[in-house]
Formats: sequence, structure tokens, C-alpha cells
Amino acid sequence: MARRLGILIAVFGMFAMLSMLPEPPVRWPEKTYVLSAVQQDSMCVELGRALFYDPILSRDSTISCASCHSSYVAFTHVDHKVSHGIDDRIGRRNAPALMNLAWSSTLMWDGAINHLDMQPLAPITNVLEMDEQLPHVLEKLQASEMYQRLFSEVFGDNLVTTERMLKSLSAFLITLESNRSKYDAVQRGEALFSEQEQRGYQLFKQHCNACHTEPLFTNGGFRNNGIALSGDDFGRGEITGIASDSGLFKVPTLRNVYYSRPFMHDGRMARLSDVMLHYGSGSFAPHASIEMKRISPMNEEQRIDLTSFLLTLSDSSFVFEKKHQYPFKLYEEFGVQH
Amino acid sequence: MRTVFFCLAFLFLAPIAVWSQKEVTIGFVPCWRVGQLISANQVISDDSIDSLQLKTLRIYLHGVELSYQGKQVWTSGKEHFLVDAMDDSRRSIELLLPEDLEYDELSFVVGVDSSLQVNGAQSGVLDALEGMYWTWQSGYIHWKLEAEAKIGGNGETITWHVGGYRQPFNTLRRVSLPVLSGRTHMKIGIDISSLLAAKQMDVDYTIMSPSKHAMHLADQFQNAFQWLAD
Repeated sequence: MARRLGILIAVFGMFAMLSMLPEPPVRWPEKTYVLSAVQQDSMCVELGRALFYDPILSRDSTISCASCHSSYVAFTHVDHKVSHGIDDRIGRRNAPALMNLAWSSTLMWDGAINHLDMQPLAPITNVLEMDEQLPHVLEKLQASEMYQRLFSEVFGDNLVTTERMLKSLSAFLITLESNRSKYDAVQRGEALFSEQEQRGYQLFKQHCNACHTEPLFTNGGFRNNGIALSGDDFGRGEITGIASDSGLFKVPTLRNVYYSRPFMHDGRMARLSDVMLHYGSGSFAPHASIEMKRISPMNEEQRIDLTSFLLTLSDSSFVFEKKHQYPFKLYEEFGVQH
Repeated sequence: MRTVFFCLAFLFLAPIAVWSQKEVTIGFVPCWRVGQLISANQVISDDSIDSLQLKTLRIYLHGVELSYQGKQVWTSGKEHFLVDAMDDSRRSIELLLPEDLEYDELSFVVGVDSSLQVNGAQSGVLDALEGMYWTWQSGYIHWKLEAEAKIGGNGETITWHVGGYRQPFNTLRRVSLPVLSGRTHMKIGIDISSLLAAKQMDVDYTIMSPSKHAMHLADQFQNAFQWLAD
């Protein structure tokens, strides 16, 4: 009897000790995008950066990728509910922040794009965004002295092709990695959360992690988060044609959420506090995804704690990284003015 | 010494292997009912239709296979072909076959292989520049038919861009036709009248995304292929 009691105490003690150990760092999954040898060349990344910031991709050379994806706000379009494109035409959705794209197997709020390489074709040809045609883009790039030299340096000859252009853009976009936030430093054992941040982290794991899964802070899936649907946007359902997908939108990453306002697919929430009020209400429309129904109401203090944790996902070194910004020197060298 | 022997053997035998191959050309042409060829700008009319002028007929093919008595004897592998049935210079595919190959069935898949649909930017006939790639959502258009028609007194613009590689709207279809071995030039007709019959199944005149209508058209297209006499 005494022996059994001893074993029981030992097992209990072991579990108690294990629960006191610090949690192991969250591991990053395997990247889904595999870079070719050419794409790993820094010149290819530079070519991609030149293309990203160049309005030559649009019909009248006024809109570049960066027009709606500004580096200083985590590559989104700050202060605009939905992006405006060529001729001030108003788009349909909130420009998503761009980061950690090597882990994204679907892109856009509705997952319409299934590979990073093919993503630029959507805004280039969208009449509300760049309103351009692919053959004309290639023609303009081929006529440019700067691109002739860049393509030549990267690919060995100056021929501009769809594949080369798209893969160069991908090479640049893949470099937009955000993994140097305070959260990441805590994960690496280089920093500690404050008490408030720690409380927020626990709330995050309880309420948010099912969809905004660490360490990417998205599970890459599509969910209905219980906000009222806007009349003409059915999200994922428009792509799959499956009725049950109607009203689902891609779960966005929460990394750099401090920089990437407004929020939601249609930018309807201007501030993080609006988002907290929505999720903290604990009451959602019946069409909300199952994960939403597991969220219990949060009081003001809890919402502040959770916000405090979310701010630890801010990666200022990513947002202000010079290598991600407008390539002044390169454009200057070729006398390119935008 | 052994390596040198094998190298020499390869050098001597390789050309023989090439010489013992033959090129087989298969052309694809649009037709109306059984064997009435449709040329560019030609206006078709009969008791079922006031008029029809075919503008575009472009088709991706892959997975060309030859079989003999139910057993596959040759395949084109992963190679893709883009056939433009309205353009003399792009309406044929060439197959390099062993000289004495015997076969009694030809089959091919209409559309672009699903694995290439999710593999990023492609070149050659799969270059998005060919205008056979949807830009608003990822995916190749397996086949494209555009026409101006007058049906029942109403003018209609037919725009059928049929694609889709995911369930439940996977519109890839394999076509099988009996064939006699030995011929080096063959012609396959694509019966447009049978596609218009699909319209009677409540298919819209404008199809530009994967859908149940696209599935109906894909089913119909699969049966539109027929051998034509030289």
C-alpha cells in the first residue's frame, strides 16, 4: 500500500515538475515555396524589387505593387478600407499585408491564387488595379535599358519572359520575412514577456490560436469570423463554387498587426480596439465558423492584455528594413523617375 | 576499356535508334456534324441554327497515349500541346514513334495536368502569355471556344472558357478514339454542333469559370472528337 502511494506521489511530482518547465519554442513549419538557384541570386531579388516598385506594370505607369503594399506599414495600404488603383478606381477588398509568403500556399482573401508566382498577374490585369495586359508589360520591360541589363545579369540574356518576370518578383517577395518581433525573441529565450503580455498570450492561446496559429499567426485556412456579410462579396465561395464556402475569408496573419490597419477583408474596422470589441463580445452571427463559437466574452482588462500581447508581434526591423524599400540607387543609376 | 566500348556502342547505336523512328502528325480541325469542315470566317447555318461564325478554338492536350489490345504501348509523358484549330500553323501535334509500333487506340487528355496548375510560372506553351491562363484566379483554361451566332432569331456571343482542376469542378477529360497504326498524317475533327447541343442542357453562352455548366461542356467536348478522312 505504502509502495503504491509512493509511486503515485512520484508520478504526481513528475507531472508537477513538467508543468513548471518553460514551454518549448514554437517551431516554424516547412516552407511551401521552393526557390530555384537563380531566385536565390541577390541580383534576381534586386530585379524583383525593381519590378515591385515600378509603376511600369500598370497601363499608364501610375500604379506599382507598392502603391497598395507599402513597406512602412508591413506592405499593406494603410488608412484605406479598400485599395484604390488606376484612375482612382476603388477596389473591392482591403490590401493584405505581405510577409512570410514562403509559407503561403494560397493568396488573396478568397484564396483565388494558388502559387506566389502567379499572384502578380491578378493586380496587373485587374481593371480596378493596374488595368494592364501581360503582353504589353513584357513589351515595355523589353524596351527598358534598365530591365534589359537586369534580366541579362540574372538570366544570362536580356530576354524578358513571363516566367522570368514572375519568378523574379517571387524572389523579392520571399525575402519579406518577419521573425524578429519581441514574441520571436521570447521564443528564442532572448527576452521575457511582461506580466500583462504574458496574460495576453494565455488569452491568445485560449481564444485565437486555433485560427491565428503560431508561429505564422495564421493557419492558412478560410473562416467566417462572424462579422456581417457585405452584400456582393462571398469570399472563398466565389472561387470554389461550393455553397458552404460562401462567406469564408482567409485567416490573415496577426504579425505586425500594429502596422497593418485597417482590419477585415473589407477594411471595416479601423482600429485594433474595434477588432478586440468584436472578438471580445463573445457573441457572433450564426454563420460564424465553429472556432468563433468557442470564444468566451472578454472584459476590458482582458482585451487590453490581449492587445498588449498582439503588440509583441510588431517587427520594426522588418518594417524598416532598407532592403525591402524603394530602390532609389538602382533607379537613379538608370535615370528612372517615378 | 569497358567505358570506351560502351561509348562507342552508344555512338553507333544512337543514330540507328533515331532512324528507326517515324513522325506522326495529328491535325485538329473544327467541323459541323459529320465531316463538314469549318474554316476561319466561314458562316455555318442549318435547320438547328440561323448562323454561326467560329472565332476561336484553342485546346490544351497532354497525356497522349497509344494502346494495342487494351495495353499502353507508347505515351508522350508530361509534354503539353497547345492546339489552335483556327490557325493552320498551330493546329497539329507531332509524335515521334518507334517505326514498327503497332497500336489500335489513341487517347489524350484535354486540358492541363493538375500538378502543373499549382506549380507556379511555366514557360513554352504553358506561358500565361498564350492567353490561356486565368489571372483573376489561378488555373489554366483547358479549352476556349468563342463564336458569334444567331440562334432562334437572337444574336448571341458564345464565350466558353472551360477550365477547373479541383473537385467538384474538375473539367479535365480523356478522349479515346480507335486508330489504325501505320498512317503518318491523321486528322481529327471537333464537332461544334455537338457542343451547341450542350446549350440545350441549360448551359450559358458565357462560361468563364469552373462550374457545373463548365462540367456539362467538358462532358460534351469529350464526345466531339471524330476522325476525318484525309
